[in-house]
Amino acid sequence: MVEREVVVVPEQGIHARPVARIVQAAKKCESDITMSKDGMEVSAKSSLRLTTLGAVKGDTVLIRADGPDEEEAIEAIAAIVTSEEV
Amino acid sequence: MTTIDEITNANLVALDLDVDGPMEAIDALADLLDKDGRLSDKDAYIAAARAREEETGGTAMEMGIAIPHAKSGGVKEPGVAFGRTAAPIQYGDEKADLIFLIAAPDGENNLHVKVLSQLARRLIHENFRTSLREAKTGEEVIELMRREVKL
Repeated sequence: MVEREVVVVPEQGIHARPVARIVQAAKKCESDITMSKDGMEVSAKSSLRLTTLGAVKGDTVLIRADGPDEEEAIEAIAAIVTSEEV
Repeated sequence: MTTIDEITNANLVALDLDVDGPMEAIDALADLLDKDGRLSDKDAYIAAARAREEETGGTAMEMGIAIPHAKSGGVKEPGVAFGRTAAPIQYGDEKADLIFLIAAPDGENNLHVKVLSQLARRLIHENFRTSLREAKTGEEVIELMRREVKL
């Protein structure tokens, strides 16, 4: 299992487009991937569950990945959460 | 602190929403928000919500839920409208029969995210979704939201 703490960068926080991109990337991975904020941990493969975090720009979230492609998974998700929207 | 009663009411509930797709749903629900006096420029708000729908590739989530939303200068008072379709409609890559449209004025960042996340927190529970699907009146839906959704 690998985990990484990151600060949310996209202006709109983790909802709408960033959520769509995270789910898309997470579903490509075999590993179990979760994100948590304030002790609440949810699957990164569900847009409804990710939306429940209510993570806004500047919040710290913890990404966890567990499985055969956990390194790639955490890189992909962290990259989306920490980059400005294009 | 904002309450459910400030952002929605029975006039903003359409239990027999008759639409074929996401854009039509946005139009119909925005119309309710407009009639309730929450929009200053309906067209501008609809354009923003439709644009958001397109850029995200659809605001549908799993479990039959879609939450289209937009912040816009065309919004006077924040509001949430709810529509339910008799059968799930095709909504992007998903299907949805429970549709919430959120409208927030420009700059209302916190309320917007709060409503979205708190609503989602209840919607992951099957009993809440079932209650919404079985509600017979708009007032029943509002009572349910009052009881379950904490802002």
